[in-house]
Amino acid sequence: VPGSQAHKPVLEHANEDPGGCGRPPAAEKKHTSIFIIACPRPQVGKTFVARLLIDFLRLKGTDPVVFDLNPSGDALCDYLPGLAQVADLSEIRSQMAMFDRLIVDDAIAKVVDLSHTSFERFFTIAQEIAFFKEAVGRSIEPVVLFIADPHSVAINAYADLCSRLRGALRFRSSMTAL
Amino acid sequence: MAKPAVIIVGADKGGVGKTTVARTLLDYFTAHQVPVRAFDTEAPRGTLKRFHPELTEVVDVALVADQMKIFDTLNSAEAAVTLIDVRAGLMSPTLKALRDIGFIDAAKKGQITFAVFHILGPTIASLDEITETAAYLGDARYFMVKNFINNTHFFEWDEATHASYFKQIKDAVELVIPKLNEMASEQVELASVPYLTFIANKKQSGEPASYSFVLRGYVRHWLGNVWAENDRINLTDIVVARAPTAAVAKVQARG
Repeated sequence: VPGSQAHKPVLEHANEDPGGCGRPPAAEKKHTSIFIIACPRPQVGKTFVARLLIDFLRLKGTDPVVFDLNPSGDALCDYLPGLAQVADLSEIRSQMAMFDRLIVDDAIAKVVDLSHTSFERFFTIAQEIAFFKEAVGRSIEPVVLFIADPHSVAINAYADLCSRLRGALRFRSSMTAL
Repeated sequence: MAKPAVIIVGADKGGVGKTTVARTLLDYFTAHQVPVRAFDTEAPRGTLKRFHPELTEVVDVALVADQMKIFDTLNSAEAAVTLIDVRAGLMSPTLKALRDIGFIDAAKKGQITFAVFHILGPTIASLDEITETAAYLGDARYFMVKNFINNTHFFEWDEATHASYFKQIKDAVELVIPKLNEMASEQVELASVPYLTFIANKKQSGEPASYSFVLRGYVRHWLGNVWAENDRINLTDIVVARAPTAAVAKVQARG
């Protein structure tokens, strides 16, 4: 939410080198990023941040691949009907359509707008199918944009997410507001 | 000297997942470098053989010639473990045949490690097999495998019923095979490869395949849970157990 101090996104570079060795990539090849915009709380500005990010990526010249896991209400697919694909985690075919596309290292950015109701299910499935481990193995950079919120549900979910992903990824542990 | 080990995977009832469990066991032994061979009793076409053609031979356990092929080669085979996937309806006849040829007595004397993986489905008809099967077992290790082919509770909600089936056999060990997502299961079926090959995204020929990452992830997760059960019962220790010295001498003298 613009102007609000409470709802600022936290950019979590899940694959960032905590040692900060600062070496440039070995090859000139463009890397693939997956941006996951998440918070287990409703009405914190996830879709707004997703729209900003998508506009930014489009201005850089390439349309990202976009998945909308929040099809009801003020949804991303309503703003970007030609770009956003609706995904439903309760359907295995829909899971395949999304995760099998996300895991392709094709230098095209991917954006996932995760609803608060899909938060737990998404990360549980991702953990079960070793999604983040596989992404890192393919030199894909997963980035979690966790929308900070003072509610205990969000605080606990953030801590839980850090510990769940730490086993699979190099993970910046500090919760730094942009 | 290591004793030969024979594992029977079976049930009299059909559709309870016998071959599925046999496939997980072959993958488990392969991954743990335990030499294994398998016999598929789904003659003449075979089911297990489709997934593990290099390890599996199709036999008809009712034929004496095929019984000889299995049991007369236990000591000479390179494989430490012989796994027999017994098709529906043949569990009790096979155990009866084993008793008649003296195999169960040999296991009792410690010359052979003998384990039975009795695959149970969520029906009374399936659970009723337990008593009949146990009657043949002698000193065999008996594993009651609860195969969750659906979201069953195996009558745990009815303590008396559950206990009447699962607590009646002394020394029997329960094993749980969780449910695998249907589509993942069908995709491996279609690919006709071992689970490990599917997870590695390869075809039977070893060439790269293009299976769904999501489905491979589900299969890997599921197989990990199945193997955790095998670890819990120390399966590799059971099958590579050493024969008592006297028994070895006796077997060697016979050979």
